[in-house]
Amino acid sequence: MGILPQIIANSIIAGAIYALIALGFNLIYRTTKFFNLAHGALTVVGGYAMFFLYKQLEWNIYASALVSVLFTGGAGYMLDKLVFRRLRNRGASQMVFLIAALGLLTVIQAIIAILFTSQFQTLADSAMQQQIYDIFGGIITQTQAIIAILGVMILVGITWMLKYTMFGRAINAVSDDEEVAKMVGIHTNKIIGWVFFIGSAIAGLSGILVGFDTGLEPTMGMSLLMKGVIAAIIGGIGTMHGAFAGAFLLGFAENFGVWQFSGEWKDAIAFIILIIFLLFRPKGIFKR
Amino acid sequence: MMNKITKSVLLIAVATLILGGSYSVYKKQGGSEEQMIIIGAVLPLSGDYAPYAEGSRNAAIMAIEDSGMQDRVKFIVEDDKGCMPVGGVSAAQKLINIDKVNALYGPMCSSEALSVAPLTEPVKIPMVIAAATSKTLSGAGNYIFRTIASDSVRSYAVAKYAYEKGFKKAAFMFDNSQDALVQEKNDAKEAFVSAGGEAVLEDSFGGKDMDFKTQLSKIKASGADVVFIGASYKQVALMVKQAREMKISVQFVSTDESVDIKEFFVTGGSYVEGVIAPAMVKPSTEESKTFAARYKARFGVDATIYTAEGYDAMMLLLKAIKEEGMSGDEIKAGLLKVGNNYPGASGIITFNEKGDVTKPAVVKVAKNGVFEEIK
Repeated sequence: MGILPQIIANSIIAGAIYALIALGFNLIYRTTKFFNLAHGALTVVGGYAMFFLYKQLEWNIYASALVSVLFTGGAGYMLDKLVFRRLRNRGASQMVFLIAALGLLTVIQAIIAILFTSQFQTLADSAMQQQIYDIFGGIITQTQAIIAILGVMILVGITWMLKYTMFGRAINAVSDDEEVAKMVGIHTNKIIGWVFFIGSAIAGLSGILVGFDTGLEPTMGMSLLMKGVIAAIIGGIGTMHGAFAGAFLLGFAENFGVWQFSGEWKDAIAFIILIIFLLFRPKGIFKR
Repeated sequence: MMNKITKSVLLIAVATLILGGSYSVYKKQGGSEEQMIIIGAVLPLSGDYAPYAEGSRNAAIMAIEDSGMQDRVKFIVEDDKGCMPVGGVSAAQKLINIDKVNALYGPMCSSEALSVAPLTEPVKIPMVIAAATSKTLSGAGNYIFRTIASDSVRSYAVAKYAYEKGFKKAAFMFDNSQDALVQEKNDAKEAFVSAGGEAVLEDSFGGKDMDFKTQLSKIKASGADVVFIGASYKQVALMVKQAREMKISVQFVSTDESVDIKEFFVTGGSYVEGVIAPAMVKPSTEESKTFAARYKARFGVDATIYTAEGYDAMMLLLKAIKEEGMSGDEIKAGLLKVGNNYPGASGIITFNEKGDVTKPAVVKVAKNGVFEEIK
């Protein structure tokens, strides 16, 4: 059956991981309008929380995952409460937000390296081989199937929440104009806090899934975040389905590039696409 | 107005104070008849190569203790953060310019050692290296000494073995950010092709990559029956694991970087069983027979790959200083003198004029969580 089905499967898996990062990142960006680089560190927090509970304390897998995701959400909420909210109240510039987020990324990664060493860790049980699925000649593992399914579920869930719930409409109001939202009686800080909680929880979930699929290291946050941000920008920053489309475009472009040229082109391809979009379609595939 | 006598007395008193003060400071810094020997280590204490660094640092500490010179030696370890040139150069700069080291122990990786050499060569600071194996290092300077043989011998041995086992079509995958790995790939390819094999695919990846599925798809399509991987233990383990998950059943060949590293089996699990890799032949010197046990007794953990070489590197360096002196040229002369048929923990060491050693290689296979020698 040739190599094509496998390359498509590889692209979908890569795209789904980028999509998970991009969705959480984009949700926070559309509400707060700043590049939350600390989002990358939260994927690491989620992954290592899972490592601690599941591998070190040997908790049940579902309980560990649930607690880790909630913990990462809580960590994101606290970052907003302790750092970003204060900067917002002070009316700090975008640059200050960016630097603060970069600082948090560095600090969190360093703390995790101190607690868990910078050794590469894997969440998967190495003694147990996982279930494999053959889809039209493309082989994917159970973890990879879960990644793809959860990517779609989160996209649908967030889109539904933003469109049909009161909370979602409040998020839209804050993202359209924070001042006006305040005037009409929306408790903006509370809404933004919840957005951080949800976005960070998604980041934590992505960290856990990456930890099962490949593995964890304290510095993996930055490279994951870069791909998530590129996906968000080329998809149309601020739109949820845009982030999703951007992530898959990136996943396909990278894997087809590796197929046609060589593995060393992977990162270069991601950035070439970013530059092309910034030059010719700066608002991305789907404009908000 | 002070008279002349009072002035002279005061002058003498001040002079005595200054002289006395500086002497006590000099004493405190360890200055005595015998000057302190300052040795700086450049090691990847953090990052992917951290498992190699701990053993290497311990080995050096053990050699310093065993030499009986611990009162004279100041050993400063700097983290190069991942065995990369940038970290290595800044660590070496600090050691050379601020700590004023007499010699360097390390770096562990070849690209890094090649980047550090231009700093150490002009100021004649010898580097004793226990793990960097690229053959390009041989010509990189006059003050570079290695207790580990360059890769060529091992790459040739494993490539020849693979061909003789009946594998005829090879794919070569390598991390193109590490010079030694690129060299090892070139050597293995040359040996495999000259033995009569065919190189059907060559592909690369970055040092941070963890997803190799598309490269593996290409391997499957290429019809290769054996894959030589030049990468860190982590990437080798991940690649083999992903290949097995994709039902690719080719023979994988690692470099010696995966051998004796328990994290290789932690990451790869049962998937990495059967991976073959070259290694140095087991040494038969007296020192080598007791080294592993003494190391375990001292540090409570097993000696990993490169520790015996590290022990020998530090021991020879100290012996050389004892014999000849502490300047760069004296250390060099000393190393050439003591490093002649020296029965070390890693085998017999004889430095050639380029500071290299020659040691024979063997082929090992991953079996039940350890690498076993193939007879």
